[in-house]
Amino acid sequence: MLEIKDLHVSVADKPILKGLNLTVNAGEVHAIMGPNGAGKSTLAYTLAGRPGYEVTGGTVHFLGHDLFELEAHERAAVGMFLGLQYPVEIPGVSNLNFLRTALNSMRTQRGEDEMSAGEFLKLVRAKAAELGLDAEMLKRAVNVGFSGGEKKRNEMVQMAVIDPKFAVLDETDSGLDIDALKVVAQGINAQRSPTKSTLLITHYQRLLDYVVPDFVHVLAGGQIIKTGDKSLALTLERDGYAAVA
Amino acid sequence: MDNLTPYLEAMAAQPGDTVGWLAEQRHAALNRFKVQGWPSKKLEAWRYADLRPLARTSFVGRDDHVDEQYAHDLVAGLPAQRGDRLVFVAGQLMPALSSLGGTAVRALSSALADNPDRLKDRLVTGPSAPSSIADLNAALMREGVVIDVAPTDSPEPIEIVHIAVPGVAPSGAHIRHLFRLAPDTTATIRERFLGEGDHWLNLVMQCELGKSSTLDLVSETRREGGIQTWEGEVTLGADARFNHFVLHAGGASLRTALTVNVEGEGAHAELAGVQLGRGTDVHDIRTQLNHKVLGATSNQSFKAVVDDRAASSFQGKVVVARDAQKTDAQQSSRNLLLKRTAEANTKPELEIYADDVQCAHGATVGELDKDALFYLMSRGLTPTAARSLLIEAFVADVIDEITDEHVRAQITDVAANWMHAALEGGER
Repeated sequence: MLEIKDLHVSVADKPILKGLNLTVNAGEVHAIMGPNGAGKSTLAYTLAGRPGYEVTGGTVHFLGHDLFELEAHERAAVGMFLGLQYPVEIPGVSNLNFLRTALNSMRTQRGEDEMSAGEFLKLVRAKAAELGLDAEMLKRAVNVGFSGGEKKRNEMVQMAVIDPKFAVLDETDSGLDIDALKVVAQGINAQRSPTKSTLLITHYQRLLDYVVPDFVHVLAGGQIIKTGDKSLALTLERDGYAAVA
Repeated sequence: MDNLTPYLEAMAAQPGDTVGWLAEQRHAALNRFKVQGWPSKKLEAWRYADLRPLARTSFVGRDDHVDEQYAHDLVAGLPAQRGDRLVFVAGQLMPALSSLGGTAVRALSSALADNPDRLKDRLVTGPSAPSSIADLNAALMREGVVIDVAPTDSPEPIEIVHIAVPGVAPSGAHIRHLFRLAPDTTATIRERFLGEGDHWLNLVMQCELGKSSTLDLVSETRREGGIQTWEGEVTLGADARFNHFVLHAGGASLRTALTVNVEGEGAHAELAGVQLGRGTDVHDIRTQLNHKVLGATSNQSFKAVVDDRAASSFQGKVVVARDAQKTDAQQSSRNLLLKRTAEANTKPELEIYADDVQCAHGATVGELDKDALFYLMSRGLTPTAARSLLIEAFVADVIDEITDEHVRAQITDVAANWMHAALEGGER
């Protein structure tokens, strides 16, 4: 699914990722943990194609594509999804309009027919209901006036509607109360399947109580310095990152 | 001024010339224009407008060889019109394309031919502070629309369509509108400025709103090329309400200058506009709100989107007289630059002589939010679709204020079409 080899990335000429290697196979859930400033969000943004993240070395192959040959929207169409730590507010654009435009834009890029308005509404209402997002909020402007928990719930609804092959979730669990955390976990677990994969970026072990990862990696100093199973997260929670460094 | 001499000779015969006061007035206005000349960019009110092509143009008299088929096709593409419709092509009324059924609406030419004295009070008074080209309009006006709304008149929307036709010799059309609403009446007037070509349309609008009357006026310009100068003055009686929406899209040089005299207590003026400029378009909106009496309100919200090397400007002046206590006057001008080579000018001016008032203004110039663009693209929107969605959102709140849902939907479509042309067509 995703193969990262010796990835080097700089932001504003400052090297952040310094030779990162990671392979994610179909059906797997990987968690990346690490101290502040380790490069976790840089990895997420680099994969999604955000401007300002300069790849200075290495390769990423994603579902048979050289990832860096694709623009952000093309990566999305191929199956990449980035759940943001701070979802952006977009005044004047309704959630429904945004999601429908997004979905149909990806379908068009893939050479598929656009989804009809009726079909789309049915889908989005069902997903919103599953994830406990008030249907009224779908009509409101994207994330405007949403609480932190509602924004993350909205990200999960977007992910469920878009149905990506590979989801990168950048601290989607941060700042959430226990109910919102369970919703996020539900969203991630719903995306779990033998053909789809997830990369969870998180500070805390807490989310991993609800989403059991196949692998846990420690990212520090721009590299993955340790890889283990779910028990590694518990070790980190108990002993801190310094103990594994 | 030399470029005008043959033009003025050719335009010598005007409707109503046999009427003494009107001939005198035309003569006096022409003399004022000759003394002042074209509006100079040195004048603050004309600082951002671009009328230089006018001073260079060799005007000729009226060109009667207009392409009626072109106009016919444009009109055929318009949404069906329930009420009266007047169609002017290069300033000339086209009876075949117009439909006049109501009692409230007349063409200026027929009103002048019929009984000009009925218009005397309004024509002699004229706008309170006419520019030199409004004087030229007073000298050469030939057509326009006279609307006198009485309580018995139909409330159906009135549509006035101006069509610029390519290939017509430069003549300039001087249009004079005289609108008057009797107390407790309501009217909806929809002006459209369409077509293409270098044609100069010089329009002056005078309007009086009686006590508790309401006028909804939508002025939509989406012509290709050409110069348009629109100068209006509206006087509001007690509890009258004036809603005006202006759209500037296309046009080489478009200017809308509106003065509102709030002379009745409890009156309200709601002014809004969207300017969409690309290529080398020059768009200019100027408003002046004169709050003269107690307890009236006004709200202004204008948005501009500028691409390429286009320039847009908004100058909004609010004058609150000493007696106009409890005035509430709000003004906002928000501008979006799509390229750094484009230009947006915004200048609020408040002159407040009363002490118990609420007046606020806000002005911003910004670019598209890069975080929002990335967010949309990360959800699969192409760069063009993402930009288009954000620009539509930027202008949507002003368009959403249009009360008539059909007009709102049409203006939304016009804006969306402009966006697609601007984003996909590259630089014009």
